[in-house]
Amino acid sequence: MDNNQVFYDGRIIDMANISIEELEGYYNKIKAEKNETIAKVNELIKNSIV
Amino acid sequence: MSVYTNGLSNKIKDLVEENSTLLHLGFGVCNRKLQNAINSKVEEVEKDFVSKANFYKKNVNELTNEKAQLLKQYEDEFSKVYDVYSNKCFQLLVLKEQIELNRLSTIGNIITLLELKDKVEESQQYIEYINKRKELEQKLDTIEVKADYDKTYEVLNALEDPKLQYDDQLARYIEKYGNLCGLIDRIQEAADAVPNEGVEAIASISVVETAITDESKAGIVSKIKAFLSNIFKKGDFEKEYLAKATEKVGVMDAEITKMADTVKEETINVVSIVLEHKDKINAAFTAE
Repeated sequence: MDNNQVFYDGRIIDMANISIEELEGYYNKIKAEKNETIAKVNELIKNSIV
Repeated sequence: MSVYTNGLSNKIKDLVEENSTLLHLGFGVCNRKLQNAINSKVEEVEKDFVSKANFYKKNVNELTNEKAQLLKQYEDEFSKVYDVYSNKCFQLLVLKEQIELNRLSTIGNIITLLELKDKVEESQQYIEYINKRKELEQKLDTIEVKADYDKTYEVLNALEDPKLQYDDQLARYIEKYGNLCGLIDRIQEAADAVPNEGVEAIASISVVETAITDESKAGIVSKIKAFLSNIFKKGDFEKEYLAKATEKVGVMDAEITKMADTVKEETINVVSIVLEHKDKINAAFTAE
């Protein structure tokens, strides 16, 4: 993989060959997934200390 | 491993992947937006070039070199704006990544402590403490003489909870985790704002000096002026447009250099503020 490629959801995204809309779409999607992961971490920490 | 520590370990793996993908995509989005903004500005210059060439009755196909040269000068100027905003975005994303690593290691510390919880609660020392505490509390309920009550109460209060240090350490790691989350959110916001800041900065730079007179809306004097200008300046494309457009690059250069210096300064300030916050979070944790 070069600097223009990222691995996501089992495949390689070639950033140089997709539109800005698609690129932003991936970015927002992964950002939302990460927010969900953090929310889950918060929940696990909260429940573990009860 | 409990269900919580196992869950947290899996989430660390997810976060490592998500962070890496986001770093690349975030930088990619920023660079692409900046490049698109530059492309449309250069297109604006190109359209103006063609329109002026037509106005001065020049054959655009014979001006390929002049056009390429001029566009190259504009592209070079805009690439300076691209560089500072792209660098700002990169600095913020890398900084965020560093703090993300700090957060991941803090989650790791929390997991380690949670795994120790059972051991601490099952230790002989803790069992003895709990039993002693229960015994004293039951005794307090039955004592009728105030002096005896006070003495027993004093003994109960003096009992040292062996788990207190553990609880305190866990609470401080959780607090550190929360503070790092807040800091990461703020850097994320700052990094996400950079592409649009850059696009707005590029859009604010004017590249076209004057529009060609719209003859249908012009008064009689303007029409005569335009007519005379058309006759006498037919061969003045180089003097009337090309020289001025090249001169404009010089004016832009001063404007862009000033803008670039401001953005560089802002970047240094933002990075140092974030690092200061990060150091404060870590220092508060280690201070006793």
